[in-house]
Amino acid sequence: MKNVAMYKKVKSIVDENHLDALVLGGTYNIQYATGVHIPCAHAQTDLVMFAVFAVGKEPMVLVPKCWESVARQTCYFTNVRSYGLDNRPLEMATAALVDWCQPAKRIGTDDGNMSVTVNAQLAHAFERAGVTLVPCKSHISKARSIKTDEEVALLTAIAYKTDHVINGHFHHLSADRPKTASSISESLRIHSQERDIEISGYNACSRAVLGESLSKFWAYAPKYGFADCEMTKDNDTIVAHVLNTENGYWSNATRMAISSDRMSDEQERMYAALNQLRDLLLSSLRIGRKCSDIYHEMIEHSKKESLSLVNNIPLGFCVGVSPMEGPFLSPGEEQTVEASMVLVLNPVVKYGTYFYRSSDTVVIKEDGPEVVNWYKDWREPYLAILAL
Amino acid sequence: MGRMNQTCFTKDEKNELERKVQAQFNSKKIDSIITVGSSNITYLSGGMVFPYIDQALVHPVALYICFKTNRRILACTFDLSDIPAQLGWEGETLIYELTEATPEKSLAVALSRLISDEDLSGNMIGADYEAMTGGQLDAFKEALPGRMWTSVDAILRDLRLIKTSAEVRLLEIAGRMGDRGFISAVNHAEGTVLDTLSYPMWEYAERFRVHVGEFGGSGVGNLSVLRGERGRDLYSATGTRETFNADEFIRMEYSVHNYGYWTTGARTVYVGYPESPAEKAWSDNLILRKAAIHSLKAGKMASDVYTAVTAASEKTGIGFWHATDVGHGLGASEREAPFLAPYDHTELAPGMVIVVAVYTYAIDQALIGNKDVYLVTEEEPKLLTWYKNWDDLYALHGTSARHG
Repeated sequence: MKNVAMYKKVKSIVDENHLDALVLGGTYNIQYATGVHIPCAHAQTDLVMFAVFAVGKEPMVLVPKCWESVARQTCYFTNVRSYGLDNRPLEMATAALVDWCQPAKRIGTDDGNMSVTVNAQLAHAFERAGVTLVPCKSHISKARSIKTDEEVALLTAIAYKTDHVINGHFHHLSADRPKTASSISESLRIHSQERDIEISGYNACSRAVLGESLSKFWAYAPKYGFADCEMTKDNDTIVAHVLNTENGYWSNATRMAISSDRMSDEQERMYAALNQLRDLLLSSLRIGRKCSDIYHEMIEHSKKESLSLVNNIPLGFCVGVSPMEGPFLSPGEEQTVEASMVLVLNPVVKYGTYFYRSSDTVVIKEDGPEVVNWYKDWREPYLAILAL
Repeated sequence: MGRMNQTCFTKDEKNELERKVQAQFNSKKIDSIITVGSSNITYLSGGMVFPYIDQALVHPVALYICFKTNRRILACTFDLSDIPAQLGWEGETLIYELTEATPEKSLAVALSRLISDEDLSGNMIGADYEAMTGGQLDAFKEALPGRMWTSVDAILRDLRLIKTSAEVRLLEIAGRMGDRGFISAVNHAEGTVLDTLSYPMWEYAERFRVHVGEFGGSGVGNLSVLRGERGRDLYSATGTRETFNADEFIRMEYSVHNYGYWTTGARTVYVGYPESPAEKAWSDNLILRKAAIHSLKAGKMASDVYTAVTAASEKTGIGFWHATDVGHGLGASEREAPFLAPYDHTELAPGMVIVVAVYTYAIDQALIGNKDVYLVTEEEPKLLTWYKNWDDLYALHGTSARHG
């Protein structure tokens, strides 16, 4: 077993809920509990996977035959099983799952994360086997939000590396040499791979937004990962958004550069607001505080200080085996901040029609949050050289 | 404008798709639907593409359509709210905040406020249960009490099986983008793959990705380069330090989309000058692939194609990889019905777009094969990935300095 700490966490869900087995079907939950990381699983949903933690048995991962080898590459356990093509994948998977779970009579599931169709199929099959199903989504979500030491180390490493990546690209900026948003996006990706980041499709996203397009969060639709041929102009703000994955764990970073060696007055004001919001957030993030309380407090502070905070999006979120996960720093979030959470703080300010942001990754410790992704000191954005 | 330059739907084409959808749901007496699956949203909205919904990089998006009133609402969070306008959405856009305990509840509550007085007579709402999580459905049920819910996956499946001519064009363009991306990766690799400085496999993959963008692609999904022992897998992580080796096959697996319409591809080349065992392995692959293509005819069942490959394999003694189907449908997703597998007895019909993939073995047991996309017609299937003929084994070799 390659990850004993993770096994203990999942096992505790089984024990605390007096389960005979826990069945996971949510792709990220499976990845979290077993290490199995198959990026296309999110897009090829007819191919069903399950992970099972049954009392008295080795944990088991069930995948379609075509993914068996790739599942073994990263699985913490040796018990990877597969199903073939004799019947539809969901039916094949369910039959194998029910068979493996015998004689369990009380089985927990992450029903809230599985599709309605998969849930219905499981409910039907387990009902015939006389099994009582117990919803366990909230337990697995809670477990995922509190990272193990190993997870914190992985997330810290990838967050710092991604900040290095962004700086690696920014050092190529020269104000006298206009660049397109698409070439900056590509350069960000290349700088990731030059630092041993795995190449990955789907949500391994590197994108730059600049100029007039700063009035949109997701500019250049639908070419989100490629951007467009919009060209930098003097004094433009460039927002770089980079997501990277390493060993199945994600970074989610946004940083800013100015296409000049100094900021304009508006950029000064905008960045000062972001600095102030960062400081306020860091002082608010204390163990035991409810996330929604922190959100409301920040909104009040922002109004009082006229910080132009965009107040209808979360101010932060957690990161882990997925690039964005709960709890969120949002008005409805009932979870509290806990030690060993890893959050991306993402306050956004709006000046004129433009949105500006610079996100920090923090680890919650007993004495407060620690910023872990400052390759450089981000109290100042990256300022380009004027000429080469 | 040239046919292949029209990379997204025209207004008339959107309307045509809309009418087709409307007629189908009317015939099934479904008055309103809520869908959350990314491909269903793209399909039903006529080309709205949100970033990375399947991967949960953004909060959930829902599309509500009332077929009685023709009311259409895209519900999303603020950060996504300008996307519909960027892509020409003419319906309503509802922005929801995370005011509830979960994003799913926040979405459901916000949408329910807008539609709670709508369609009271029918009380039945259809939803895409194959894409919707149990948590999301529970949230909708709580927010819209008294409604009956039903799955519309079968209706959507049937609708999406047969493409409109505009959908076929978008898929053809996606296929061309994939091939142009791949050829560009090959062009950059030639002359450097056996350089003593070595050429990393990740760069090969990245060259593909960036050229897809340069040729107008909207996004890259799956991306995996496989050689040697890893070549025995369908997918694998691409090692950050792995380089090319002489005298072996190397395969790239990818998926690419053009305004939400996908191609799924695989291309295999040989590094170095292939000798007869490699040539034989490749020609064997072609024999089985042609058996699949030959059976891809209207009126046959999807499973018949798999059976045809199995029969050809038994007749010739050429083994093939049985771990997966020998192809599947394409559309607003990279993998959808029908599936060319023993379990799928869907009757093939004109207008279906299907990727064919038969993997056979190299001497080192690595999987080799190409994926090509076909339109099913009344006669022979029409090749949509026509940009280059890959039937001859492509040899990748050279030792010059970096091409740049």
